[in-house]
Amino acid sequence: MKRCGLLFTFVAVFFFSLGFAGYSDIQTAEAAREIKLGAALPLTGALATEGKKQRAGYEIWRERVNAQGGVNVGGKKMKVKIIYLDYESKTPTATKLAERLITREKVDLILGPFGSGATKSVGAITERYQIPLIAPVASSEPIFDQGYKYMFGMLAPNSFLPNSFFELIKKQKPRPRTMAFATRNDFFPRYITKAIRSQAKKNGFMDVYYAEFPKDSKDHSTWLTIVKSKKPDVLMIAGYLPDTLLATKQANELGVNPKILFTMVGPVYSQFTDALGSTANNILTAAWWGEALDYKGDFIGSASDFGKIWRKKFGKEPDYVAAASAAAGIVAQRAFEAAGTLNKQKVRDAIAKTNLQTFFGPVKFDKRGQNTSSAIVLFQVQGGKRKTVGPPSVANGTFNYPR
Amino acid sequence: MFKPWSKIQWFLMGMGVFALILMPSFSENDVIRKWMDILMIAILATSWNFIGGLTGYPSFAPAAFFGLGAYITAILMNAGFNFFLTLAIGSAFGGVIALLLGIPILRLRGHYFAIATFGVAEFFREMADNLRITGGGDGINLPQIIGGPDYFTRFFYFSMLGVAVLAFLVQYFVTRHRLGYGLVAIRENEDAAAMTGIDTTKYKIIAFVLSSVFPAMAGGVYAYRAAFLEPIDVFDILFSIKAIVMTMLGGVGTVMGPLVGSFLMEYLADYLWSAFTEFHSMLLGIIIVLSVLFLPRGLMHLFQELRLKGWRSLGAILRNNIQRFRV
Repeated sequence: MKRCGLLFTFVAVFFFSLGFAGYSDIQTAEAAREIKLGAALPLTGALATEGKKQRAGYEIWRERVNAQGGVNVGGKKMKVKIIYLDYESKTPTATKLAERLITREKVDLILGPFGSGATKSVGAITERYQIPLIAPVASSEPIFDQGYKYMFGMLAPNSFLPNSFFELIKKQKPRPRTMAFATRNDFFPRYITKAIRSQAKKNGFMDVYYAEFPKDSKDHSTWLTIVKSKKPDVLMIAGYLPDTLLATKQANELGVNPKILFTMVGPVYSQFTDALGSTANNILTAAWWGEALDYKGDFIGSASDFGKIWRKKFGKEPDYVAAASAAAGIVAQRAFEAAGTLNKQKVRDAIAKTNLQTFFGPVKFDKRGQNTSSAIVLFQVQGGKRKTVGPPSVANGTFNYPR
Repeated sequence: MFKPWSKIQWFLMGMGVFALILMPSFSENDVIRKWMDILMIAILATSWNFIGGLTGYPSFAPAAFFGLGAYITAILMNAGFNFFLTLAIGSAFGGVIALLLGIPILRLRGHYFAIATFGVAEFFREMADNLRITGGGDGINLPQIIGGPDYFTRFFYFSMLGVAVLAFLVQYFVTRHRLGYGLVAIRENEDAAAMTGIDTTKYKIIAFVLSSVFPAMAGGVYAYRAAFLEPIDVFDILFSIKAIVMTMLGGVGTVMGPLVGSFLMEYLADYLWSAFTEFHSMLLGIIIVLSVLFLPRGLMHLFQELRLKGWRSLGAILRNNIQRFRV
C-alpha cells in the first residue's frame, strides 16, 4: 500500500539524519583547555538526597581548585569542569550515562555514583573504556574483586568494621550476649551485616534472629515483632537512610528496646537525627568520617574546616558522603599533578600511587583499589550530639550503655 | 486487513535495515549505543504487540521475560557457554515458561490477566533476589567482553539489530497468516472467534509464547553488555510499561507501530531529558497523556486515516478522537 510507503521514506530519512547527529560535537571537545570530569549521580528518585550531597562535595572541591587558578598539569594551570548527569536512582541509567560521559563528553576521569551496586556497574564501563573512576561511596569488598584496574574507592573496606565494633561492645557491663540482625536485601547492607554476623559467634555472641527485608520496604513491623519476642541485647539494622529511619521509628513505637541499637547507616546523617529527635539518642552507628576526627590535609584543611565550609553553605553538619566526594576530587587533582598529563593510563598509575593526608583521613589504595589506610569510626548520638566512641585511637567520648 | 507488502514496501524496508547496518560506520559510539537502546525497546514493543496489540490481552510480562533472558545468559556465560548459544537457550527457556504460564493465566481476561502478568514479573524478581544461583540481592557478574570500545559497541548493536529484525519478520508473517487473523478475531470478540472454529486457547498461548521469546533474547544481549546485573535492574516493570506505551503511541496491532513508537519516544525522552533536567519526567508524562487523548489508536492509524480522508481533515480527526471521551 502506498500510504505505508510514505511512512517508510519518512522512517528511512529519520534513520539517516539521526545517524549523523553525533558528528557535530567532536571538534569542540578537542579545543577546550580544561580538565573535564564526569559524574552521573542520583539527583532525583529514592537516592536524591545522597546524590545531591555528593554533588555538593564535588563542587566544594571544584570551587576551591578553580579559585586558585586550576590544577597544575605539567606546568600549565587547567581549570576543572564537572559535568553532572542525573541517573534517577536507577543503576542501568547510571551505566548508560557513564558511557555517554566517556564517549560524548570525552571526560578525563569519572567521579563515582552512589553506593556499591551502581559503582560496580559503572566500574564495568570505565574498565572497558580504560578511564579512571574514583568512587567516593562504595565500600563492599566484592566490588573490587573483579580485578578492575581503573576503579578506586575512597572508603575503608567493610571488613574493618567488625573488629572495632566487637572491641567496643564486648567490654560493656553487664556484657551483652545475644544479637539479632535485619538487613535490606541489597548489596551494601547485606554485605556489612554479613561482615558483623560472621564474627558474632567468635566474639561470644549468640545469633538469635536474622531477617532480610525488601528494598524500599514501607513497613518493618513484621520482623520487628519477632525481634521483640526474642529480646536480643544487640539489634543491628542495616539499610539505606529511608530503611533505617523507618525501622528505628517503628521499633520505638512497638517497644523493641535492645541494650544496643546499631544502625548502618544511621545517625551520622543529619536527616536521621532531624527526623527522629530524641529517639536517635544513644543509637550506635559507624561511618567512614566525622568532622570531629583529627584528620588534616594540605588542601581543604582539617576535618573541622570542611565542617565549617559545609555549615556555611547548608547550615547543617556534613557527613561522610559529602566529605568522601570532596576528597575524591583532591585525589584526582593530585593524580593529575603527579602525572603531569591528562593521559588516562598515566593518571590511573598516579592514582594507584596515591599516598595522601587529607581532611578525610589518609588515602592510600591497595592492589585492588580500596583505601585500606582509612578507618571506620563508631559514633553514638548523645544528647543530640555525635560522639566518636571507637576505635580508641580516634574516640572523643564514652559509650552510653545500655541505651 | 493485513495485506502482503508490495515490492516497493519491501524495498523500502530493506533500505531501512541497510541504513541501520551502515549507520555504525559513520557514527560515534554514543549514537550507536543509543540506537541499541532504541532497538531493545522496539523488540519489547514488537513482542508485546503479539499478545497486547493483536490479541488484545494487556500483558505486563515483557519485563519478566527480559529479566529471565538476562539472568540465563549471565548464569550460562559464567558456566563457560558461548554468548549466542545462551541467547538461544534463554529464548527457548522463556518460550517454555510462557507456555507453562500461559495455560493457567490465559484463562483470565482483561484486568485479571493484567494483574496476573504483573505478578509474574514480581515473582521472577523475588526469585532472582533470593536464589543462590542468581547471586541474590548482591547481583551477578558476567565475563567482560574482550575488545576495544569500537568493537564491543558494534558487537552489541548488531546483536540487538539481529534480534529486532527477527522479531519484526516473525511479526510480519504472523499478521499475514491464519494465526494473525485468528488473534485479531479473539481481540474483537473471543466468544465469536471460538464459534467460528478458532482454537482460542491454543492461539492465545502461541501469541504469549511469541511475545516472550524475543524479550528473553534482548535481555541476554543487555546482560552481556551490562556485565553486572541486579534483580531490580532487569525485572523492572518499567520495561513492560515502556513497551506498552510505545506500541500505543505507534499504533496498536500494526506491524510498523511498535517500531515507529519506540523511535519517536526514545528520542523524545532523550531530548526532554537533556533540555529540561529537573522536570523531564513530568513533560514526558504530559505528552503521553496528550497523545492518548488525541491519538488513542496511535500514529499509524492516524496516518492511515489521513491517507483516506486527506491531510485537511487532521483537525477533524483529532477533534473526533477527543470527543469520544465526552460520552
